[in-house]
Amino acid sequence: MASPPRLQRLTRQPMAAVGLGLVVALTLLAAVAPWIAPYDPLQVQLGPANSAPGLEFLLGTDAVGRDCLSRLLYGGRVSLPIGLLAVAVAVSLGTAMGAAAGFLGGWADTLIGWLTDLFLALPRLVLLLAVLAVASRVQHGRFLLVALVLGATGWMPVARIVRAQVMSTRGRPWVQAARGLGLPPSRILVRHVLPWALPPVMVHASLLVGTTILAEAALSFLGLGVPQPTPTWGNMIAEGMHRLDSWWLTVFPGLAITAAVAGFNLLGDGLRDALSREEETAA
Amino acid sequence: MTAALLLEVRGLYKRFPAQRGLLGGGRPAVDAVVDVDLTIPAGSTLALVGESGSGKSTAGLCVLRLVEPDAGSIKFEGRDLAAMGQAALRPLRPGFQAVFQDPWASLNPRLTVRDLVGEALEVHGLAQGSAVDDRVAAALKDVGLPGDAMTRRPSAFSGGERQRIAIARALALEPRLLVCDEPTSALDLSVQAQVLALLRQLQQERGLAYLFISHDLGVVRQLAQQVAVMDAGRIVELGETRSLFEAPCHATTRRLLKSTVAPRKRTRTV
Amino acid sequence: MSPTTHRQPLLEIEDLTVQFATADGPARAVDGLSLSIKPGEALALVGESGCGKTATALAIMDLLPAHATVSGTLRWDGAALDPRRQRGQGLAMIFQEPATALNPVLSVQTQVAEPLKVHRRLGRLAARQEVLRLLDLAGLPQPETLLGAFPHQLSGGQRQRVMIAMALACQPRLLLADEPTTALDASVRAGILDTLARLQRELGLAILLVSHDLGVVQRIADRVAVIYAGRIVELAPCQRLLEAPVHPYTRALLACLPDPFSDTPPAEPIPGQPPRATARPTGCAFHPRCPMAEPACLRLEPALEPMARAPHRLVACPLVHGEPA
Repeated sequence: MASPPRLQRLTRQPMAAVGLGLVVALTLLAAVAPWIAPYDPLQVQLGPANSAPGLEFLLGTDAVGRDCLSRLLYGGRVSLPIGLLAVAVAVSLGTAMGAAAGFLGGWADTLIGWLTDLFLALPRLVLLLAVLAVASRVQHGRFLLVALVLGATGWMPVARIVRAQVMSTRGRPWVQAARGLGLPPSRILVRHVLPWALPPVMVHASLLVGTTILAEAALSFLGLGVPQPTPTWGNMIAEGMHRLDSWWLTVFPGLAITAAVAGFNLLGDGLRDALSREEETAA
Repeated sequence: MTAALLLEVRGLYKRFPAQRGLLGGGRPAVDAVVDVDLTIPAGSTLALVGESGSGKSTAGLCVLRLVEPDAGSIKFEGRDLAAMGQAALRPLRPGFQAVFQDPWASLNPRLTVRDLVGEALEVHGLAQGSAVDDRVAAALKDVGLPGDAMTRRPSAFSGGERQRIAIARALALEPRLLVCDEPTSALDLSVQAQVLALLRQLQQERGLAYLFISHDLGVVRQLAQQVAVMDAGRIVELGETRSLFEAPCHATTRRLLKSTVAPRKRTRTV
Repeated sequence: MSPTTHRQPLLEIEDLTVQFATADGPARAVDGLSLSIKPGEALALVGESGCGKTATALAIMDLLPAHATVSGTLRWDGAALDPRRQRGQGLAMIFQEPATALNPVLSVQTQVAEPLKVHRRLGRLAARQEVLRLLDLAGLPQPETLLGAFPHQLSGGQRQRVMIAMALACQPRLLLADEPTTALDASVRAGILDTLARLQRELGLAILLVSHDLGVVQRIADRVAVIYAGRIVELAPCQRLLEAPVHPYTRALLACLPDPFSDTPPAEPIPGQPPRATARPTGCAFHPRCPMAEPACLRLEPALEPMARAPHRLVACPLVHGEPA
C-alpha cells in the first residue's frame, strides 16, 4: 500500500495535521520520559509537598511531594499504551468477527450477530468492574489485564462496521471477477474485500483510542485501574479530586487526557477524509 | 466432421426465490433460466441475445458457476461442472474465463495492472516470480497495451483500456472458452469497435471459443456463428447467425431485429 | 419532425467555452462552441464520452459545478439569457437517471406540484388538477393511480415520464434532455422518444437532445451537431448526416456502427482515443487519428463553415468543404 502519498494527503489538511502533531508529541514525550523527567516520579519528598507550579517543580507537587511533571510524563507511558493496546485487541477481534459474519453469512452471521448483541447489551463499565474485581489480587499483570478487558469489551462496533463493509463489498463486480479467476475465498477476503473495510475501521479505531483512555481514567478514578504508586493520568486525577484547591493536581492530567483524545479524534477525522478522497479517485 | 464440443449445457435451470421486503412488498419468485440447452464447438462463438430480464446474463453466470444453477449439466471439455463442488472447480477455472460488462468495477481499483493480470497465474501455480511479469507483459501486448501499464492502477486508464486489461487478465490463464457478458455495452462506439476487433483477432489467433452475451444484434452479427435468442428465461430460437437474421421465426427474434437501431436508410421489414 | 420556420432563434450560443480546474491542470470541456436553436426545433448534440456535450447543456442551464469557468454569450429570444430566471420557466431539463433525479421520499404528486407552486403559484386543488394533466401529457395512463406513488414503486419508463411532467410544469419553450433513454430498457426507449416527439409537435416545444446513441437521435432530431473535443465538427439535418456524413470523424464514427443486416466485414476501427480535455492537440483536434490529415491540419484550427455546395450544412474541415452533400 502506498504510504507516502497518503501521509502527504493527511498532512495537507490542517485539522488532521494538528491531530497528528498532538499524537506524535504526546507519544514522543512519553517515550523519552525517563530521560527528560526532572525528578523520579515515585520519589516521596515531604518537604516541598503540595507546592503550586513554580520554578523548581514546573507543574507543582502532590500531597506527598512527588513532582507532577515527572508523574505526568511517566503517566503517559501507561495511559497511552493501554489505549493503543486495547484498541489493537478490539480491532483485531472485531475485524475477525465481522469478516467471518459478513463473508460466510448463514450460521456464522447468526452466531456472531447474537454474540455482538450480547456484548453490546452488557454495560461496559459494569463488565469491566466485574472482571477487575475478580482479578483485583493480580498486581503485576494489571496493565495488561486492563488493556485486554478494555479491548475485549470494545470489539462490537468494529465487528458491525466490518460486517457491513464486507457484505457490501462482497457483491461488487471485482469480487465476482476474482471468484471467476479461481482465487480461493481466503485470498478474496483478504485482498479484495477487507481493504475496503479498513478505512472506516481505522477511523473508528483512532476515535476509540480516545474513549479508551477516558475509560482507563475512569477505572483509575474508581481505584480499579493500575494501582499506586505507578502514575497514570486517571489515577492522578483520582488523587487530586480530594484536594481541589491544589488545582494543578487535576488540571494538568486532565489537559493531557484532553490533548490525547482531541489528537486522536482529529487524526481520525483526517484519516477518514483522506481515505475517502482516495476512494473517489480510484472509483 | 464436427469440431469437438467444448461446452455442452443441458437443462439449465435457475430460480430466484421470493423475497419479502422490509415493510411489506418485496419480490415474487423469478424463474430466471428455464431449460436452457447450448452447445459450443471449440473455436466458435455462440451469441446469447435477448432484452434485459431475459435471463441471458444469469445463464452466462450459471455456466461460470458464479451463480449456482438449481438444475442442469454443464459439460466443459467433457467434465460436468455443475456436479462439482466449488473447491474442485477452482483448478479448472483457468480453462473458462470471463469478461464482464462494467470496465470500471470489474477491476479491483487498489491493485496494479501487474497484480490484476498476474494474480491468478501465481495462485494457480502457472508461473512464479519474474515469469509472472513476463506473462503479464505478453498478455498486455496481445491486447494492445504498452508494457509500462503494468505498474499503474486501473484509474489511470480509459473505459476501453480497462476492458482490454480485463481481457488480458482472462487471456493470461490461456482459457479455451471466454464468456463475455455485454463486454462493450458500456463503451463508446469507436471504442466498442476497437474491442470487438480485438476479440475477433484473438479468436482467430488462438482458436478461442466465445459465449457472447449481448442485446446488440449488430455486434452479434460480426462475431457469432450461432445465435440463441432468449425470452423470459427460455431459448426461443437457436440457429446459424445469417439465416436467423435473414429469416427469423420467433416473434421475439423479429421484435429484437425490428427495434435494432441501424441509422442507415435501411428499411427492412421483418 | 416539425418543419423549421425562419423565425428568430430561440436560443443562441456564441463561442461557449467551459473549463474545469482539475488536479492535472485546466481541462477544457467545451472550446468555442456556437449554435442556435429555432423555436419548435429538435437539435441533437452527438458525441462520445468526454466530448463536451453534457457540459454544454449544463452551461445553458447554469448547472455547472463551482470549479467550472464559463465564457461566451447566451441569448434567449434575442436578449441576454439569465438562466436562473429562465430555469423552470423558459428552459427545462430532464436527466439520464430518473431513479436518482427524483426525490425518493416524496410522492409523485408532491414532486410534480412543486414547480407549480413555486413558479406558477397554484393552490392545492388547482395544482392537483394540473399535475394530472401534466402526467397525462407525459404519456402516463391513469394518472390518478400514480399520484400517491413513490419513485421506487415505478418502472424506469414511468419515472422518466414523471420527470418529463415536472419539466413541462412551467410551460417551457426549450427542453434539454441529457441522455434521457440511456438508462432505460430498449423496449421502453421508443415510447419515451415518441412522447418527446409528440410534445414537440403539440406544444411547439424545442428540444436540445444530448446523446451518444445515434439510433435515439435518428428518431427525434431535426438537426444534428457532432461534437469532438469540445467543438462542433459537423452540423446538418439529421437524415442527411446519417446518410452522407462529410467530416472524417463523423464518417469514421458511422462506419463503426454494427449493422445486423449486413455481412460485409466491419471497417477498421478509428485508431487511438479522443484527446483528454487537459491535453488537446494543436490545430484540428482530430488530426492525430484522421485518415485524411495533412500538414496544415496541425497548425490551423478549422472553423465551422457552410459547405460550398450545401450551405445549410456546416462542417469544420477545410478538406471536405468542396464535396457534394
